Amino acid sequence: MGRLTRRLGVLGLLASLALSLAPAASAATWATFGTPSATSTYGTGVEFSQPVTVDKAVARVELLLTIANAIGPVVTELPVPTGTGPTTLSHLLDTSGDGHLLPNTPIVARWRLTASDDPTDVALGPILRVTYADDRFTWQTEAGGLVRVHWYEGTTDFGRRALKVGEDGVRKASVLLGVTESKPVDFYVYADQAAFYDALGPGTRENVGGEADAGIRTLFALIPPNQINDVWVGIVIPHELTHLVVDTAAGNPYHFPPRWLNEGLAVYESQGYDASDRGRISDAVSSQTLIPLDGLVGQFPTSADGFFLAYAESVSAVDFMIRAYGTDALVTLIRSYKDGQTDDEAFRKGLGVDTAAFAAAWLADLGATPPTRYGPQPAPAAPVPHGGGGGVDAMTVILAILAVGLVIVIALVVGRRRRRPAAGPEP
Amino acid sequence: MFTDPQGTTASDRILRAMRRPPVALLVLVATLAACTPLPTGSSDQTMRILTGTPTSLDPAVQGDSTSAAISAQLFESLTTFDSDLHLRPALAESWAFDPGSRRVTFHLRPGLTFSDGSPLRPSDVVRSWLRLLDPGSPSPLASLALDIAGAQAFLRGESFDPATVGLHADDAANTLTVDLVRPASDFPNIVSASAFGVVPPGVGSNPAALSPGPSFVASGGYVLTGTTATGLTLTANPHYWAGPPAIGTVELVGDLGGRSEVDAFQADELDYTPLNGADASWIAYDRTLGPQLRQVGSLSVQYYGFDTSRPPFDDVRVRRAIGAAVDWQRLATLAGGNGSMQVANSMVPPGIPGRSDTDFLPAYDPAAARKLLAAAGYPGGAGFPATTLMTSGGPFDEAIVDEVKRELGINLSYETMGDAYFDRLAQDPPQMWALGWVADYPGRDDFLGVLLGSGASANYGRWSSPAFDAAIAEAGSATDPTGVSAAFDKAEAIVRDDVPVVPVGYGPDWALSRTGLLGATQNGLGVVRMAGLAWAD
Repeated sequence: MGRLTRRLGVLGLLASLALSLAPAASAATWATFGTPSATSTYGTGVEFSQPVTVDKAVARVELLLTIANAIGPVVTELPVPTGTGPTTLSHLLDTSGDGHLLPNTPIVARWRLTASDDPTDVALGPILRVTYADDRFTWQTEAGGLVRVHWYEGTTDFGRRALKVGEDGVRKASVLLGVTESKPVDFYVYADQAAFYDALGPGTRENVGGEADAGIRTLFALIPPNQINDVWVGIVIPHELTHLVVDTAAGNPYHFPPRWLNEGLAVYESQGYDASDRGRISDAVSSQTLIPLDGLVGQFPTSADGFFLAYAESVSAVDFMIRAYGTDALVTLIRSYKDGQTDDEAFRKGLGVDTAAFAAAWLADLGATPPTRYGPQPAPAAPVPHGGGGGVDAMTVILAILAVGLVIVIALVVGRRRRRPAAGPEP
Repeated sequence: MFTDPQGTTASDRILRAMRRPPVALLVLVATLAACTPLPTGSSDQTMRILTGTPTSLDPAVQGDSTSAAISAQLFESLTTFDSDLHLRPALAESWAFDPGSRRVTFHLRPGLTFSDGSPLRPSDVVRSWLRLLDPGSPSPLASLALDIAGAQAFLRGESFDPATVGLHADDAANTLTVDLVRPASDFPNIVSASAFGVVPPGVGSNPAALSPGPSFVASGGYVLTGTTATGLTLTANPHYWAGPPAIGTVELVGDLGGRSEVDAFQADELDYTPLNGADASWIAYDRTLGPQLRQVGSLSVQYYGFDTSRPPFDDVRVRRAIGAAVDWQRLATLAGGNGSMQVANSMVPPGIPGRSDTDFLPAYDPAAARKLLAAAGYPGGAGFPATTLMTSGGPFDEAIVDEVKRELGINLSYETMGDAYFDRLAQDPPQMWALGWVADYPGRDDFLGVLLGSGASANYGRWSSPAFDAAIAEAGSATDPTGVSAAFDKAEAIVRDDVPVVPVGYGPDWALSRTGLLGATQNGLGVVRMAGLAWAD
């Protein structure tokens, strides 16, 4: 992801858009499917509809939705129509809130009916291909050999400039990692922050200026038209494209490289280890606030300072990796993930050391002391301990207390008896 | 009780409105230390906790851990486990076994009442527990109650007289006597499960009985008094057996609308939240959040299963082929979230008393797998029937599909399902499926007999093995720990060899807990005991 914060813009209005459909022939026997349809309202959902005539009772109705590049569909079970004859099946895929989908997400939809008299008798409806689009804006498109840039504010020159940066970026990253990109990449440019964050979804963290999603081969960036010539543009586009190329180089069903490596490579490719990041690292070393690399394998910190520091550390580590081990080692490391390697296996294959050794070497190169770990911590106990008694255990405790008391009483009595003689006769 | 693994694919974005918090694989798995609340008056500082949305508040209806984590606050059982996994009395103040341990008598605390002040008697316990065994609508966790004499026959509809079930209430003596089919010295452990929560008379017959508001009657530490835009409001039960809980109001947040739980915690909108392991890694080094980070032990297992009642997985050779074709331990190492998931070697997770360290996973041997598949009539996968792996979305799914294709030539179709997945699993299990299971109580049988016993309600693969059942019965009847352990080991070996299921990974989970929130420790049983919480002065 990119890192530059952008000013707040105007939120676009919701609109509806009829999606491009590609119905295929029905495969039904006892069910005759008509032409399916889908209507999308960005930010609200996609309404799927399927006319069908059934000749026998239906036990189950399901809508199968394959989202993006998923290896299989999400199945939604829906109410069963009563009786036989014609009916229209429908379902709203809710994309608001938690159901958010990124714009440009392709969806393959298909209805599935199961007969009441035979659970193995299944009728599949025709395939419907739709793309969930951000229809709030009128997009302009400029296509190159691999990249298609979409923008809604700014001139044609703006789009061409963005396209050139994109084409150059993907070419550079592909050469670095030795991969050949052949599938088109869509690049959506948003002009204001609110619309941009809305496109990325409710969980988007602050300070995000760009995001790439390899599953839909799409990148999103926040670039107001008046900033098309800013340095930022030459950074965010190759940055996000590098993520797509890394995915091509390392993608596998098992395990993806740690986030700091992915982001560090993207920053290194797009802007290098610049003075700003060097300054952050220097400050963090001085203040002993560095986050170790094993703390940056997943999400990055939510605070702005932590967020920017995480990126700075990422590119610092990649810079050190290239200085200490060479570019070829880095490429070997990245590409080894393709075979389903653990982090340690990939690092040993690429660099000859495991992740811990690399992280320690990086810290040593920075002259940093090992970062302090503040958690996890045990929870403080409630001030009053458990007050229950009873149960077999409790009864045992009670009996034990009684027994101890009895022993004490006996001991006292015996003690007294023993002490008396020991005291000797009174003079 | 079941939970579901974390989804990480793009498809899973539309699965998040499920019965779990949107962030995590994890249901709420903290359990609080003290079983007794503070004796002081209730605090007026509300505690807000991310819980997810329950499928049901009825202990006899629910089977998922999110529902259990909530209903346990509302409906108390006779016993409970503390943060150190020590069994503690709850509604019962004591219990005692007859010689031979085939009968146990619980002595309820004197003067117990429901939250409305009406008396809570042993007959209420019997009524509540019989609901688990309703043959017309059995609990998903009915298997937990099958140690009770007559329960099996009642559950199967072979007997319609509740008096044939070995539950004997003596309201005058304030005792409940339970006849057991085996020397079940662990029965007090089992009834600590939230499914055994005692409900007032209206639950089950009057839908309004579970609606928030003044008519809601509880036996637990809290009463369901209202709803918010995102969840439920609980209020301390003034008639709770241990006195009103220290925190007067608890807000259960069901949904953050896709927002990060870390953001919500930092914005002071949550005081306690389960946490994605991807965030825990950096939070550990954060000066502010780090001290509020908690590692939450989880007595849970993620596992894959087969419908053994139908082709192709009714053939043990096919199951063994799948079991041997996938390198399950490597799979968990690679796909288990940057090492946050512990690699499984048994259905029984670490932390369960008496757990064996023996590796009970099928041996990884692709060559043997291919031979087994060929022997079953599918050489190289040829002629293998159309087969679907359906899950609620998990990090291992794609890798399993990939390995089965690569090693055996079988093209598994893959589907995911949202809210309805668990119902589908219970009613019409997919050919191959996945599930997470959190302990109802800390016992090996909760992961063995309860999940895999013939006819068990949570035996979703409909596997039946007389040898396994015999081993479980042997474990249940054994009176010495060595005999119990040996019998359970035998049962686990049968599971390994017959491959009705394959365990993949265990917890742990993570949480953020607000500074000043006391008692928020855990024992991994999937239930937060909020009555044990308090705010520091």
